[in-house]
Amino acid sequence: MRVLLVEDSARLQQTVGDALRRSGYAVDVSGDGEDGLWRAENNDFDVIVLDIMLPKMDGLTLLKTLRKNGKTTHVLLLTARDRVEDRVSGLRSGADDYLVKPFALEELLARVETLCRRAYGSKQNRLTVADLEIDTAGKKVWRAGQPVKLKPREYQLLEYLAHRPGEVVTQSEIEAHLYNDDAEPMSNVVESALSSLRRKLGQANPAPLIQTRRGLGYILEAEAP
Amino acid sequence: MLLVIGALVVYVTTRTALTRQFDDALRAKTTALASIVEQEDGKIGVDSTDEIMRAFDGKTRGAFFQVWRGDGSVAAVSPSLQGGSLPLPPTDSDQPLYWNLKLQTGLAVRATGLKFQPHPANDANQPTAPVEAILVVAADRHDLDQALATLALMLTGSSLLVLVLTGVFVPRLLRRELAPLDELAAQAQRITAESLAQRFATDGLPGELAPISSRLNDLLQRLETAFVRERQFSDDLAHEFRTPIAELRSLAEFALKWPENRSGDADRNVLAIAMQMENIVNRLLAIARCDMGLVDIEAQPVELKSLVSTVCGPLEKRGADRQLSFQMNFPTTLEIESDPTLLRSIVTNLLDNAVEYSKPGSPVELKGESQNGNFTLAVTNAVQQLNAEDVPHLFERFWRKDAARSGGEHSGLGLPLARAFAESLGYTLTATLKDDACLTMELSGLTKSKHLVSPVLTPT
Repeated sequence: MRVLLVEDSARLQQTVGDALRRSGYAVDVSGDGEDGLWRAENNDFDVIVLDIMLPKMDGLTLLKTLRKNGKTTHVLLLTARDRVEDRVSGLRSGADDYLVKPFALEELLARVETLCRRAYGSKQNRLTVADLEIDTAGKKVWRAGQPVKLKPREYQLLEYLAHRPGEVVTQSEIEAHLYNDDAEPMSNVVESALSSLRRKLGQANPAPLIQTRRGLGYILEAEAP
Repeated sequence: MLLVIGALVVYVTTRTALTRQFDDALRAKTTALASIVEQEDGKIGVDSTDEIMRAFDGKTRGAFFQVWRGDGSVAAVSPSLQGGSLPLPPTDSDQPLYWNLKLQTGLAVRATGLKFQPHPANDANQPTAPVEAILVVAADRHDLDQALATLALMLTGSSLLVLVLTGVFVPRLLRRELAPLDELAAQAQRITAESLAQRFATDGLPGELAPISSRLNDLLQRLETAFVRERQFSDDLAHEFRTPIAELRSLAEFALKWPENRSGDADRNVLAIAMQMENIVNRLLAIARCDMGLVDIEAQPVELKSLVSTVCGPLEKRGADRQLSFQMNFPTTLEIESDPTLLRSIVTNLLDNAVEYSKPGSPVELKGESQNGNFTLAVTNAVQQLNAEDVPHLFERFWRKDAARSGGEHSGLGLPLARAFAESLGYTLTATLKDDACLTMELSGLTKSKHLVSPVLTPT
């Protein structure tokens, strides 16, 4: 999952950004409204965490511009304004959720996760594909009833595929959702992560779950008998 | 109560006057009667042919007399007594005495007595032995009692009528007349801290109340302005602290959630945030002390150019980073009387503001002037993105041109603090913007030997 954090406080950029990364998200960070809008319009983020009071362009203007241009990315507003009219104004500008500073880091992570789930039309925090089970809240994976230990990036890749079971996901889509602009999206990065994921999932059950459709992409489903 | 007392006073006064009038007439009648009482050879008689006697003949109702000799025997009785008698005066006094009594017939009369020596009956030239006589004259007091009773009835009736009218009509009249005042009171009761935008109605008010309503509206206007300012300040203060608290909380929660990732950077950030918040609190407290007149001022001679130079020193590196140049324009010496600590703080804030917001590569001019013993210090610098509408806000607490307030290094309290210190020293600090490009901060009112006192008395 790829998250854009638009926040002018350098300390919050670092702490919240690190917390999101540690939770397995690919995070892009922007410090002002104009840069944030450019990044939001030119990338495919799952969630945008957006401060309202920003230099150059305030968050509400950014949000309205984004919606006006047809971008439906889920947006979590993050702000020091706590009055009802501020919240109403934020939500009416097109925000999906609202969090007032100071906030609990866990709450922010939970809200981002909820918005990510909503991005894929899922209201549950448990995904099941064949004998694979994923707890999206606890970031835990089981295969054939046995726990599978994954690195954050591997987990995000698996969850992303599990949100679209039986559907071909292209490599560029994976790169867009799982790698931020700072990473170099070379093709072998995705392949290397997929290879590691296949190996770990195969330890509990050798039947392959992630299929390759040559020239098209990857698909998560049990192989037809 | 006042009404009853008033009625009693009227009654008593009138009764006294009528009774005195009655007594005077009775006394005149007694004196006239005494003049026709005669004595001859020790015998006392009344000249029954005199015109005065017609009042006592019994045909005319209401006048009686009786005459006694000095030995107490009755000498004459008026025919009007019809066989009855009058009593002797109750006391033997030379003063005129009046008293009420009832005749045997039941008639209420008022009487007076007179002790005298009747004149001789015939020849006045013949010497006679003096004879003493006592005359008592009484008159029917029915008319007097009737008049007094009528008066008492009228007064009682009038009092009751006034009481009824007062009880019935006065409250209605008062209610009607005081209705606008009641409405004002009701409106005042409805006004709360959340509804200070309301105003009292001034149309249709009586002339006496219109100025009161108008003054109350002026008061509300001042209260509303003060409330809005304080509410804005509270909002700003809360907002100002929310971001550093959010940073602290995130740092702490991150460290607890991922303890293996704890780094020295996080601790340094915590310290920096704490210092930033401490700085805000200290500045707010300093402004509050100035507002309350609690600032201690220690005046001493200060050389202005030297003080400005010491302030410029630490700022030169920051200025150089932005390609700013300091241009000092001072007379050779400019010695004033001031508190050096507060004055240095004012100059530091002005220069810090100039260095932070000057257009890169532009000069910052520092100019000191002296005119008629008054000194002025002006800081002028080129600015960007500042317009005339912003100037009145420059000295407001927490105001910054960029609403984002990012960075945390500038809290928007430097200029308000500078102005608070300036006012404590009796100076004036103003800002003027020329062509939306050149900002001048001018500190005026500095003098060579001024007795500096805080403008507000220090509470004991």
